Amino acid sequence: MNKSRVFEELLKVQKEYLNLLKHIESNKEIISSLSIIDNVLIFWRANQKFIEYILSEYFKSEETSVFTAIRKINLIDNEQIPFLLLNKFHIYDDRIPTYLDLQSDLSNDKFSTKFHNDILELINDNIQILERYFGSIILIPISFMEKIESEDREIVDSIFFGLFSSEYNSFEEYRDDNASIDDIRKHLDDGVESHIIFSVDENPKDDFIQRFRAYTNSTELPLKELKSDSEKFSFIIMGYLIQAYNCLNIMLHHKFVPYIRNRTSLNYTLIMISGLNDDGRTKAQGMINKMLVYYLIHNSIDKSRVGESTEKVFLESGVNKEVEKTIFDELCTHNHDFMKIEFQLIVEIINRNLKRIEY
Amino acid sequence: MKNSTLSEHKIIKGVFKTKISELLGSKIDFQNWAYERMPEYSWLGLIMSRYGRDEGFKRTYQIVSELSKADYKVKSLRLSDFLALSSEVQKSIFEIISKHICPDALSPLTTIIDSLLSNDFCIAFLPGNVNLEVRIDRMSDLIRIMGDGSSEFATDIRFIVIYYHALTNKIKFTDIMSEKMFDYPNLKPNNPIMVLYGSMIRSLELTVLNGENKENSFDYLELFWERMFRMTNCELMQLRFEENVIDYSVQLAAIKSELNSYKIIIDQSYPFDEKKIVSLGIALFSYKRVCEIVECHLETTIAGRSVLRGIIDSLFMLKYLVLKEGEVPDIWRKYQLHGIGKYKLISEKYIEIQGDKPKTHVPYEYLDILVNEFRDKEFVDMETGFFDNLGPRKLAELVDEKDLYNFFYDYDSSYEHALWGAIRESSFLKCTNPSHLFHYVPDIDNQQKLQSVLPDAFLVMDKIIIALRSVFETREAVQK
Repeated sequence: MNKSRVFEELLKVQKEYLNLLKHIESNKEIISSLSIIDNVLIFWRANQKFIEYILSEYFKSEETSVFTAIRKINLIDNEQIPFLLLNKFHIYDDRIPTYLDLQSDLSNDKFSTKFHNDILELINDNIQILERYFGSIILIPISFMEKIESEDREIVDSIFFGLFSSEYNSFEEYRDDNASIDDIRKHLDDGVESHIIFSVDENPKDDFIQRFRAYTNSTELPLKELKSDSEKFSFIIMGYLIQAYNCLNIMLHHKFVPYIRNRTSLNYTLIMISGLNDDGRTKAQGMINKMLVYYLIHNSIDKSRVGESTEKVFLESGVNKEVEKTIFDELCTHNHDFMKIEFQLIVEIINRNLKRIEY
Repeated sequence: MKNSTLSEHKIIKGVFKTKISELLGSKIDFQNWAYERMPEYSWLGLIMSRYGRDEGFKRTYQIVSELSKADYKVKSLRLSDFLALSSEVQKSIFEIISKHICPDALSPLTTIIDSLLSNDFCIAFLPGNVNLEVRIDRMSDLIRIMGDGSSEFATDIRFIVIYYHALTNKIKFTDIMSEKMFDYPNLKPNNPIMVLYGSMIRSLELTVLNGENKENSFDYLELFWERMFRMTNCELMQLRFEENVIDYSVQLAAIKSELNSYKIIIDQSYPFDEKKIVSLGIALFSYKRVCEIVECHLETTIAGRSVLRGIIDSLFMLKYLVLKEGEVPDIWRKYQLHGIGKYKLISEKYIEIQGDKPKTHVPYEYLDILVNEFRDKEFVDMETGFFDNLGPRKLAELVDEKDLYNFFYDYDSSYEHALWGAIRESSFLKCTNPSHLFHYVPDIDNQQKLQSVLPDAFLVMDKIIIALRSVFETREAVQK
């Protein structure tokens, strides 16, 4: 493969995408949400064959991180810094096309406005990423392109039903059995309750029902017909599980490392990973290790210390790559499966090594 | 139109030309319906395919009538002309169209005309979330049915185009003609008169086309085909030939046995007979090449064709040497000197290189040894042309193998010289997806196998053996 020539083509696609986003941004008053998503969708559809080639041939599996499982990146908080600091290739999972599934019911006016604003925010983020990190962070709607098919959906459904001690074969059976959140708690399998996280901001010490109520009361759910607790619960948890399934897919299909920044997404991805058989687990081990370490580094590193003027020097510093290598080497001396190393020890190793990085 | 036969062509400066090409030459302008006009009138096609012929004509009639009366001038029904108008005018045009059709009918076109190109078009014809794949499929289906410019469907669209030009007085008909022409939509597809009217409509549409300004077309057409190309998959077509099932091992063994017998005869009675040694050498060279085809499975490959061409060269040469022997008794030696002279030229060029010598598959030092082995190289001349200045075509004529030249050698030469015909045949597949304009697809995965050369290789090899037998025939041997 003529790597530099292929990369040039990829940059061309990125540039065209930037132009499209800028056009939308400057015409945002007249272009509807539907048209915005449609334009983005058509753009990626028209480039699909090339992107599929790039994903399978250009990026080197474990050396590629995919920033995924987020609604939007926080550029003000410099979230992109640790992402760029770790690993070699960086893909940012463009979320705009996934909004296609949400816009089928915009009858809720409040949600409809929020939906439109959300999309414009994403467009703005994408423009900033493309302008500031052109060629370093590659925007690809990888989750959307890996859209889960009906077979995959059945797997996710079964994982959801597996959270309960009762045996459910359909959502009807689940709903019939669980009218309220109390019923749900009663029917959850032993020990599952503590693994259910509704939001990053929740207090883990709070009671299960309290956390559920706090989340549903503070979140504008897109489907206004969600009335019962059971519907709300399945909608929230299925959303997380589908997102986690996408992460698993990124690992198993592309052998890329899902770059996960928040506890909720990591939690559900780990639930998915726990369902892997030995063979799948062995194949994904390297990526699982990186995913865990990157999550911890992302949340340990002091991103605010990197200013715009120091950013370039910081990212290009060879010390950073050395630190990453040292962390992995040191962890490997304890166990090659990082999930089996005591959490506190991992954090300690990471923090000790991060101190070597100069800002 | 009937194609010209070869004898109907005229040779002008070494080029076979048809009568029409001779008359019109570069003046021929291939204005292509499928490539150029079909995308422009695709919106009419979508309406016609959505509502069917009768209802489609009714609705498009209402649309074009209103457009023809509009204050703003809509000069043609080309989409690119619509899109070049101001947003206000576009809105009015799309409003007129929307009045007579369900907006979803034109939604497939939003895969091409996005809000960058015309936000007004998207507002008018993308009423809700119409699945992108469904829209792409509908565009593909349209291209399939509309792409053939002489089909009834395309002729109906071309009629609407003419009709609009008649309404806007761009073309004028006599009363009788007008009466007949405008009855066209009422004709049923199986009416024999449709054929006559169809060809009239198509000719007229071409006439109208010449008067149209196509300046807005280029960008739109480029976008149309680029989008359709990227959003749909190739439909690859490859030729499959009947597999060669004949087992040639017995034949190959027989040839080997016969060649071996000649080797024994030479060893026994003619160890220094140049004629027999050279003849056997030529035949053996060909036999080894046939073996390569069989052992290396080259029968359906490009290499197989090059090999076959080489075998035919050997046949021409062997027969020529036999033929000329009476006239030029030392022709066998001359033939060797010619070949060795070629080797000398190569090795001498190599010897003259100053500095680092190239490392290639050519054993230059060994070539020099071969030259000296034959004769002190000071006495070896270097000819640069063909042996006896005879090219393969002339040789073929002299040895009465013109057919072999015309039907095998010329074709295989295309492969040997990397001519486009051979490249197209062997290294590209055909994409039959009309949305891809029937482009060529590079055969990266080497799927296209060629017709086996093996039967022909044995046919030529048999001829070589026959020529060789004449060299070794007993009568001549006894006389010697």
